[in-house]
Parts: sequence; structure tokens; C-alpha cells
Amino acid sequence: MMKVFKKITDERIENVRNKIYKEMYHVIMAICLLSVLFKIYKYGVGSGELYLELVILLASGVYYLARSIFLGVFWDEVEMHDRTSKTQMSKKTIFGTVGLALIIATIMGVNSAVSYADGSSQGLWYFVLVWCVSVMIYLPILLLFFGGIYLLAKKIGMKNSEDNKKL
Amino acid sequence: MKNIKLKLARVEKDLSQDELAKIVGVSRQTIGLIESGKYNPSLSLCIGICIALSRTLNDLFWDEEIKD
Repeated sequence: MMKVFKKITDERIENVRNKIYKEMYHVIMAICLLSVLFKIYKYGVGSGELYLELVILLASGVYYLARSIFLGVFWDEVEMHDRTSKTQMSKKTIFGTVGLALIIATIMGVNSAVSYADGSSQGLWYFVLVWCVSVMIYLPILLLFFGGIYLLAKKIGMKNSEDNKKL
Repeated sequence: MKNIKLKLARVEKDLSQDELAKIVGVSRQTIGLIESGKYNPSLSLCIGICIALSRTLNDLFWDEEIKD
């Protein structure tokens, strides 16, 4: 009987360890965020001092996203979300992407109007011009990016579910 | 909720928490926490415990009160 159970590790220890890893990840993210804020305050935004923290923040996010997509967890979460929510995740993704593109365009437009325009009429013209160009640039790129992620997750999720049906 | 059935089955089999833990491949604390109802074991661990104690899942882990 000992032989049968020899390979089993204590799942409770494993679960607690995973919980600690999760907390540790949050602590590291919080430290990175605090470091980013401190460096922005001390050196300014364009100083180039933020690269390491941004790489840590972005790389961990991208890694989680990629792993969850390829393991099918992302699509499972979408399925669970769509089961309970009135608005489907696909619609939320589109609305969220359009909203993000509009926010980026507005920030760029305001920045352009405040930084480069001489009068209020020129400022308005700069804002409208930069806003329209930013929407034209960012909206398709962001839609392709987030839509692509969604469709990739869907494809892998569907493949996993078909594989499970065969079993 | 305390798992009295598990504790009784272990005592009937004349095993200590430590001995059962060694057979199943977990720590003594895990067995203690399962018996005191503070940890929900996975199905594979439940099956391991049942095999070790020569009982069924129904005998050790099914509670009539939670049927509904």
C-alpha cells in the first residue's frame, strides 16, 4: 500500500504554498508599482529609469495571459462570466477596447492642445485633429490586439472542449 | 464540520494520525485538519484515505445532512 501512495505529495501543503506564491506575487507587484511612482516623482516620466519595473509588470502580465490562454483557463473564465453576466465578454471586450482607444486619443489630444497650441481656437483645432488621428491609429490596433487574444483563447478553448468530448 | 466517521474508522483500524498520514502520503497535520473539518481534501486524497482504512467514500465522506 505504501508504494501506491508514495508519489502523492501533500496537497494541503501544495495549496498553501500556492496561496503564499500568489500573495508573494501581489507583494512584488506592489513594490514595483511603488517604485514606478517614486521614480516618476523623483526623475520624471521620460527619464528611462522605469524600464526594469515596467518589464517586470508587463512580462508577468503577458506570461499569465499566455499561460491561461494556452491552458484553456481564460476561455473557461469567459464561459463562467457569460453564464452569469447579462453582457457577454465579447461585447465587453469590444466596448472596453473602444473606450480605451477613446481615452488614449483624448489624453493625446489634450496634451497636444495644452503643449503646442497658442490660442484657444488653435488648441481646439489641435485637439480635434490629434484626437481623430489617434482614434484612427489606436482603435484598429487595439481591436486587433484584444480581439485577437479573445479569438485565440476561443479557438484553443473550443479545441480543448472537443478533445475532452472525445475522451 | 468535524469528520467523526473518519476518526472512528482510523481508531477502529488501530492507526494513529501519523501512521495514516504516512500510508496516504500526507502530513499528520493534514489528517488532523480533515478530521476537524478545517480542510476539504481532494477526491484522490479521499479515495486514498478510504483505501487505507478499507472503507468507501460513502462511509467516510458522505453526510446525510447535506443531501439536500
